[in-house]
Amino acid sequence: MSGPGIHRRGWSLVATTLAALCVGLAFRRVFEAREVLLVTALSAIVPTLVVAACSGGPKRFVVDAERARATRPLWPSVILSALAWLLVVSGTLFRDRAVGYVVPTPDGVRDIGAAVINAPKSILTTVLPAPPDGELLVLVSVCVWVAAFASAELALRTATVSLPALPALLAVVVPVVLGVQGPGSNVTVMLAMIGAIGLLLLIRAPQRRPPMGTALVGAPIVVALACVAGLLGPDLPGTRDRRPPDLRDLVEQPPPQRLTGISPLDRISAWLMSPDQPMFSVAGPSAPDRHWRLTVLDRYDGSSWYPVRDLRATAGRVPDSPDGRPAVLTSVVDHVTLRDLGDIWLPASDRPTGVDAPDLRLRVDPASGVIASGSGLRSGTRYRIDARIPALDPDRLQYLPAAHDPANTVLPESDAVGRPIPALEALRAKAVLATSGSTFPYQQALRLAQWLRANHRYDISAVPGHSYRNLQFFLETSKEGTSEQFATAFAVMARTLNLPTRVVVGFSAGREGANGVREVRSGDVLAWPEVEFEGVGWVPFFPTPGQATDTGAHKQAPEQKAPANSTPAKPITRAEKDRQIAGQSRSGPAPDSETPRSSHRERTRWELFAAAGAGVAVVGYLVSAWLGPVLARRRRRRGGPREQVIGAWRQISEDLVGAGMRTSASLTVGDVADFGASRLPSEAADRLPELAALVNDIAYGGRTIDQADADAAWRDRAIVAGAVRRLDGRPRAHVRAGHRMRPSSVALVFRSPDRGRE
Amino acid sequence: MTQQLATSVNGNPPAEAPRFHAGDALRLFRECFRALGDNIERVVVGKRDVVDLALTALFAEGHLLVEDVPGTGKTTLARAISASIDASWHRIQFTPDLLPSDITGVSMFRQTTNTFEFLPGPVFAHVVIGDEINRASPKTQSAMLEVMEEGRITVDGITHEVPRPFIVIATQNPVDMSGTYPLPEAQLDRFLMRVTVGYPDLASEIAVASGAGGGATIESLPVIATARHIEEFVQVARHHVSAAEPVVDYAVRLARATRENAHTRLGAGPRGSVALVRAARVRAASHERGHILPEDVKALARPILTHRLLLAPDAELGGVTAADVLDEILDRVPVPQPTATKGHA
Repeated sequence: MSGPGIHRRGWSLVATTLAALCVGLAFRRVFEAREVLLVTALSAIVPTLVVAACSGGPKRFVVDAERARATRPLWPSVILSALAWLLVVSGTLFRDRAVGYVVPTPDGVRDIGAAVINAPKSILTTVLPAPPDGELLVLVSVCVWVAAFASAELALRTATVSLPALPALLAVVVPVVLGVQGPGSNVTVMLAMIGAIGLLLLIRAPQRRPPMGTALVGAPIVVALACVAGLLGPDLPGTRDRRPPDLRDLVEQPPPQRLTGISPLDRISAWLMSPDQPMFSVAGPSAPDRHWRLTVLDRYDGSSWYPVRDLRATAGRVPDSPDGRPAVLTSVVDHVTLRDLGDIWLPASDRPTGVDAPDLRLRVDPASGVIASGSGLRSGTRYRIDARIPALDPDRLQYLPAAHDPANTVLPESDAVGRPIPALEALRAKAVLATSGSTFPYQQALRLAQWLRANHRYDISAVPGHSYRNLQFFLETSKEGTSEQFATAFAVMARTLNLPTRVVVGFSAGREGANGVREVRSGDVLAWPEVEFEGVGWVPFFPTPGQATDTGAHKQAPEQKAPANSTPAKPITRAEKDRQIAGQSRSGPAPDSETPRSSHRERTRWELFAAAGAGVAVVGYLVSAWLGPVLARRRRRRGGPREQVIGAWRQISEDLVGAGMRTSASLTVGDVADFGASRLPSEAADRLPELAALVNDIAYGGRTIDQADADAAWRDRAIVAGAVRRLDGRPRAHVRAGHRMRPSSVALVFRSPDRGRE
Repeated sequence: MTQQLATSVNGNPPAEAPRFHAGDALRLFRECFRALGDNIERVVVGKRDVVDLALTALFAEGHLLVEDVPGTGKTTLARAISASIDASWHRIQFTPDLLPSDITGVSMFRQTTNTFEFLPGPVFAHVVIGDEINRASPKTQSAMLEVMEEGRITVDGITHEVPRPFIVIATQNPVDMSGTYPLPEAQLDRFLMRVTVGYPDLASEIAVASGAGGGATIESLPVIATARHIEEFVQVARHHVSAAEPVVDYAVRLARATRENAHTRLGAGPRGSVALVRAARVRAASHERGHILPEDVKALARPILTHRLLLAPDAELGGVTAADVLDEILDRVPVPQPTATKGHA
């Protein structure tokens, strides 16, 4: 009889339950960890109990797998488990559709089935962590339940040692794949899973524990390789900017939904005409130069700009910008209370990282960070928003190239019947004129904004609209407009210069009340363009005069000097620096690669060197340990016949170590020969005494030999080596590997095998 | 020589010592050694290793201390050696009342010639068997010092040479120590080696008890070699066996290690390392080898060095024996490994 006994099979249910729990906890990157705990616990324990009850109680454990299959049918366990799962899911995730909060109605059963089918795709189209809806959490229950059920059945019904771990290993693939973009890490869960599987193996086959020697040799190597991989992996060529494979890239996203009928850009004039309407209030750090973004408009069809539409459901997390990661200036937390804002867009600072709005069904555009509510906004709605304010350094920006982003540089070139649009050429000509003399994109953008501010006037009564014709009228005729015209004109003109642009609609900081709460009114509405730069992402510009300066500071003229009473030690602002850059006749040469990230790069470089050095050391040691004996053997075959015979004997001594001979400096030639004679079969053993005598005669008797003796000695060595390899009961592979890993083996690479042993 | 040896084994002692040729010297040595060993083993059954050690001492011109409990064949061994050699031998029963002159001899006034005539004692023989040497008084024991080291005795200011070869085979009983005088270190050092006979194994003891092997007695042992043969073979071992420098170095390092060991109060002196190399030459010659090996040194280290060690009190209290100390030393001191470059001493 092989395999675990009945008691070990029973105890192995503990390990399978733990493995199933790990499957559920691996969903912590998909959902919030606390959301999956109850579902995971129930889904791991209940099926195990069902299986234990159906497939054999303590007295019914059967030792033989064949008998088990013959005597204990599987179907009762399957049916009971399915029913139990339905009740558990209905009572926990679909309580509102259950009779007595437990028993599912027929419609509830249909909903549960549909949820099981739709949950994977729904999760793949949701920003992680996903909302804790029952329709999504049902997937956790299914995975854990199936893993626990299958593992428990295999543990009880089969005699195999490791097969019961297979279902959990397969099931854990699901959360790992679904949680690729999720926050946090599953390393601890995976370690726990390995521990659970190890426990399973120990319970079912304690006699197969790895020998201590293997652990002692293998563990440091595994740890060293893991450290090297962890340090070097992220910096390997091609991996720094490459995202891990993500199933989301293959899943067809749901069609964009038109969430509102009115673009915020179209509402600017109306809001400006009634400027005292309260939009929202913000409790948070005082920041007079911050802006509140409502939405981003990145598509232009010649008549209108359209807001982003790749809105995905989220539980509150806003993923990082995929375009670039400028250094973070500060992290802020704001508490926003909505007033008459309406619509669906939630004001937030750029760039938000998370929203806590329990009453809203949140949507987020991962590219821009724009947040919307799928259910509309009502006055009085409160939410908390976390944001990281980026630090934009003009010194670095001024030499950066524009990003390669064709989608955000495209402009309609012809009208509906295919004729070229003359206004576009006029806009392009003015853009070239405005930016003449500029050498880098940032300077181009600054001069364009400066040109707009200098040659046009801010007027809230200007004609609204931002089509080509509107913009041409604004630039050539009226020269008056609101931030709607300034921002859109900037964006279109910049696109004619191949600068990727988009338009943002939002509000300036608002007025701070006595209680520290900033009240934002409709008159604070502001649109501004953003230009995308390589490696930094989107950078805002503020071309609207009077209403805002370069940095958008409210009610401050663009050319206004810094206050006279400002202290000399005050650091130069971006606006002041931008004016210097815009005023330069030519941008200076690009500085060296020293950037604000230089210190980070320096540190990364040192880590890289250290990791590379450690890796080279480890690999070098392993290669040397493998190569040393080979080189030593080759060296021993060199020289005259005497050296070759001595070398053959040394090689035999090393070969006999593989046969269990102790390595000691106190062994004589005779001792070695005696050991070989006692350990090896006669065809090899018979050769050792004669060869030992020859070696002694050479070494201590000055005997003269010829090449034939040397060749015979190496033939004897080959016979001995072959006998050692065929030897039963020779030291196991890990012991031989341990010998091979000794420093003395590595030293053979660098020195003669005879030196130091005389 | 082979023929002569064969004749000797058959009972007829050879008339005179042969003249060796260099090429045959080692072969003849081995044959003589084996023939002597086979001869002695007829009465000392199953103790070939002890017999070989005793013969090694004989051909190294060293003295042998046989130490064991009564009835293990100590005296038989000594007598068998003497019986196998056509040489003079005397046996001395050491007792507490034995006087030095009883050993060395006395000068007596002979009235007929009106002169003092020296009457040599029992020490004047090729083989001197000393039974229970530790029962003699220290004064008597010390009388053996000069003769054992220098091979001569001075009585009344006149030096008398003992015949060559000369070997003292002394026995002592380590168990019954009452009324005995343990040999001082100085005298122990003069023994080349100390061997222990030990009880025979079951088969050997049955063979002895049943008189198997023809019921050989010491008296019936044939003479294998003459004193002159032995003297010649002593010279063969001394001059025809070379000692490579690494091996001599190994022997010296072993002896030095006994002095540096934490468990010893007194280790083997230079006489020990010299004895080691000298005995190794004999062992090499007995294997018809013209050079000594580390194996020779290692095999002889225990009988040659053990009795020269004086253990520290802590070691004795801890149950450590001299044999343990030497085993540890043998396991720790590196053996010279064979190289293609040979050095001779």
